[in-house]
Amino acid sequence: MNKVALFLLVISITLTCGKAGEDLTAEEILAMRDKNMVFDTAYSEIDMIITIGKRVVEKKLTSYTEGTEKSFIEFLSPARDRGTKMLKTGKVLKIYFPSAERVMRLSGHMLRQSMMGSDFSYEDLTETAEELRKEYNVKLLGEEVFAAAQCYVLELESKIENKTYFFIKIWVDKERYIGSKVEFYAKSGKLLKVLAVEDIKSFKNRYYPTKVTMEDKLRKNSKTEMIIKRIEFDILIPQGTFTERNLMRK
Amino acid sequence: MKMLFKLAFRNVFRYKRRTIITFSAISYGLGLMAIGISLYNGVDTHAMDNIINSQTAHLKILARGYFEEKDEVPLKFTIDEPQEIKSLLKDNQDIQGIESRILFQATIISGMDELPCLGVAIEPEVDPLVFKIKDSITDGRFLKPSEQKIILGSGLARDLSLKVGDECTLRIFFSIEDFIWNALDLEIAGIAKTENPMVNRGTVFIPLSLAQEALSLENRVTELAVRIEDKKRVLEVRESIESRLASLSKGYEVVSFEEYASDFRELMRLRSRIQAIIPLMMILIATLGIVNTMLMAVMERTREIGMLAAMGMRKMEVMLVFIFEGALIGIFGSIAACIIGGLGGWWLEAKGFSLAFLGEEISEMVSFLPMEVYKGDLTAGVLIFTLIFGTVISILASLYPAYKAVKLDPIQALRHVG
Repeated sequence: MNKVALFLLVISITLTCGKAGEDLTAEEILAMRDKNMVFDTAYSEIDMIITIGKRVVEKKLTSYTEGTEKSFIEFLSPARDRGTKMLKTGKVLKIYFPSAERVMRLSGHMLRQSMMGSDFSYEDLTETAEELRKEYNVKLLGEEVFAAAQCYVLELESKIENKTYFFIKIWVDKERYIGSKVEFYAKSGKLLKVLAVEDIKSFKNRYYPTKVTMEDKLRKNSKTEMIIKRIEFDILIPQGTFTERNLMRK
Repeated sequence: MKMLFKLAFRNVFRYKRRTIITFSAISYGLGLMAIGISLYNGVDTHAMDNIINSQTAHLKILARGYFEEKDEVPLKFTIDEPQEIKSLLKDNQDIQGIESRILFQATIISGMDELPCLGVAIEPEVDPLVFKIKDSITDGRFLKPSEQKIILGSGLARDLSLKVGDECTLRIFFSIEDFIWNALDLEIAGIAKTENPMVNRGTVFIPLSLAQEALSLENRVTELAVRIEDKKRVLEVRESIESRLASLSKGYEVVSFEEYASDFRELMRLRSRIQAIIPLMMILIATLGIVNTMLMAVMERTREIGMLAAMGMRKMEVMLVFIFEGALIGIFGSIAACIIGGLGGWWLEAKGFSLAFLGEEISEMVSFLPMEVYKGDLTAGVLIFTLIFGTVISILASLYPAYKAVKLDPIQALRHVG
């Protein structure tokens, strides 16, 4: 290898490194955040606390996830929801209600409705950053301190005219690349939902939010907290977990 | 003949009590019948007027394809050049006003409650020329162009316990199927209580420019509502509008209120088929009352008939006396009935009565008709019908008993104890 080529190589490496270190583009920041959220497999135990006015409902659930495409959720309590299971494969969500002993398939618009009475819609839970990048134009607004952490502020604007979440604003933690706060706006500029990360824990090779609160601003005094009690990454998921038969299993 | 008439005349005044009973039976029965028929007719005409004044106007100009799917309130069939169409029709003398509107599906949210409703985007400065929403504001005021406020139907306001000045959120759907929506925070400027409960129960009015922005329909509308001077000329005006619009490249259709409210027309048609029985029943009841009293009156006088026959009066003459009597009472009774019916009908037409005394909830449940107040429609025809009908029925009703009376043997009739 001659000197010129070596020089060019060194230059190009330093240039790219420098870029990765300091001036990330908005897309890159989003991609970094995504990397934290994506894993091969995970098993978690979650408490979901729904507060509507003075009423508080606590739901316990477990979840198996494989990549971004597959996940399986089972509700353990309260008694009313016990045994309710959800299976997500790609864009299709199937729910099994033990009381009805039937599997219901949710797709399209039904995914935009409230999940089990919470402030999350099914879609809020299943949408990936990859899809966000495809459907929105991302812009870096600047930096801000949120929850005692320096954050990038990203603004996403829908590429198509008619979309419920027309604008999305994401505060991405500069050190840990976690979206610590997300605001969803309607086209009119009305704030629709706010997602806030209240606790972040460090794992072997990543940071992961373990307490998340979602507020549906169209409902008065309403919020849903998701607390991850236990999470294990890169575990071996039992075979047949992501099958419809598993949904019906007693 | 003159003698017979005189005799009948005297008889009428001789039996005062009997005359009064028959007279009041006729006037009361027929009077109520006239009121009943005018109320029945009133429901037809006023219900349609209510629909015209609050929902359909006289004519609607729609983009081709809209009408077929109008129940879905689609946003994909839009009129892209409302101003051009308006100026095209400006010199049409029959037209009182043309308003650009957008109808859309929405839900209204207040605190924890969310109710579905129909959103109607209106041009506040033109709307009073076409509809009567402005006259029906019971609280607050009408909209001003492009302000961030809404008018709420009274039923919706009650269900969500919202008042003038309150804030609420309107969830505006681009598409119900895909559940894609926009949301607006709006203040309530006024509450409308139209005469059409369907509108009161589920309509929100917002300024057009606001809706165009929220639905990304800049300069586009879903319908042009047209009010004309004379409702009867609706078909001619429609033709002239259609020929004017033919020059435009995009296809439009012009729909009359009768077509637009065809569901309601269908309902009315079914109703009229079933309920034609109601005026018939009224007529039947009035007839039975008259026949009964006349029959009683003649039977009572069997001995008198025997006497007349014994003195040599011919059968035909005896019958004539009774027919004259029936006709006399019938004419005066019917005149009185016309007065009662006329007064009652006039009151119903001027004031009408509301079902509100049943309580608002029950009355709304009962009233499947687009009417808040039940008003009568009194026509000269009803009164003339009452007059002629009363007289004819009275004569016919006296025929049978008179015929029965003269068939009696005079001797037996004289012996009759009555």
